[in-house]
Amino acid sequence: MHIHIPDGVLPPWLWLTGYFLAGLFLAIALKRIKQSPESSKRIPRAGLLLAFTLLATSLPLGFFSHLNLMVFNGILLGGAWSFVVSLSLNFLLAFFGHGAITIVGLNTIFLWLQALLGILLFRVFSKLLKNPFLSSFIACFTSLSLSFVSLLALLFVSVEFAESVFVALSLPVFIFEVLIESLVTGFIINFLSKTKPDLLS
Amino acid sequence: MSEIYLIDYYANSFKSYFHQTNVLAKLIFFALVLFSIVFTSSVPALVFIFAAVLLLLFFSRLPILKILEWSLYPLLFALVFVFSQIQESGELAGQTFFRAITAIFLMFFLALTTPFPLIFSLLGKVSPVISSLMFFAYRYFFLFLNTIEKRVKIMGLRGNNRTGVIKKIKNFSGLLGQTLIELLEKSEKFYKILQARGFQGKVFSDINLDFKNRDWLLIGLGIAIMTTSRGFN
Repeated sequence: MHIHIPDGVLPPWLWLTGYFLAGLFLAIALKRIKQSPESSKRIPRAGLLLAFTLLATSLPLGFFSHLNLMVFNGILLGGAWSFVVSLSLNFLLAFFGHGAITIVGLNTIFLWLQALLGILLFRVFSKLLKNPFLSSFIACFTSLSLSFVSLLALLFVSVEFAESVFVALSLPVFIFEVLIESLVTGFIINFLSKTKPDLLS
Repeated sequence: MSEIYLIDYYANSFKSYFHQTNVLAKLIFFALVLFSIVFTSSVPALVFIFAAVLLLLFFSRLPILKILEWSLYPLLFALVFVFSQIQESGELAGQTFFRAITAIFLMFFLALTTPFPLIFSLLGKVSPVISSLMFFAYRYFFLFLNTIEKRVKIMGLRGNNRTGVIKKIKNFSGLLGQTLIELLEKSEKFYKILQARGFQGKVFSDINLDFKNRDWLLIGLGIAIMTTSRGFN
């Protein structure tokens, strides 16, 4: 789930802060990738997952929603690479029709936080439940739900609009999207854990 | 799904005046007009910028109706904000609507007149990791799309459309996982081949950054749009 806010809705201080933070995190992520030889070998995997995620976002699920698979990306790529993928994905999405180039910085941070929380929860639940499907489903569902709550909080403090109308219009789409995305993440992780478990390690 | 195919096609195959303009000049123009959209609070000024962008799309001989169709998805989200704001202030709702539609059309102007590899090779000057990542993603996106489209058709022929929703999602996820594994092996082999040929993680480009008259004209147009829209305020 990422922020679908058109250009000009959020105040400039907010999206400029988003860009500043995204730049800062990008510098840290690139430094970590450069420092680790194992990590820099992941370019083909990260590129492929970026293409995969871009494709997932172009598949209409109906009900104005689409997949994002950032938790899935996080599990397969780790923290540093998932930031770079998140930034590239948002840039590509803005370029290929979703618009909102000013929100790319904020969206990058939102998606990355989903991925980070997803990685953490997946690790915890994998140890507790020993079930890849359930672990990734819960990780994805929790991560996306928290992301939606933080998005609402961000909008309520920064934009002038009728909150109740917005929640009434966006909540059904959100519930539908989160359920489908959590199921897809759960099923793919389950499939990979059986066929290529080294990808998850 | 075919929309990215078409965007790529229009950007690479059309040869209008704006297609031949320098990529950096187009990015500067884009930034100037976007700045005008975001920092203008007058609805007539926003209507003026929208009309200017529409004219540019027209002169680039791009399919305006198709662009309108592609814009519907991001516009729907803009309408959520418009409806939430209309009770508070009609002018605010008008600003949101025209900002959204103009910015979307402007983005399409850039995307449909500029081949994407030109933009990611410019990004290579910022970070070689990002440009390499984009290079791989660009290469594999269309391969992924073809493979998945074919397999979804096959899955349909095998009766997947007649199963329950959860089973359908499970089958589709399995298909995504299987395709991912196959292409992952291919991409790793491809990367090793590139390395053996001397690839060191940098995508080089031969972009000419010397501006010609047409490039200066486009930048001048951007400045004119910005100044005129400020005049409305």
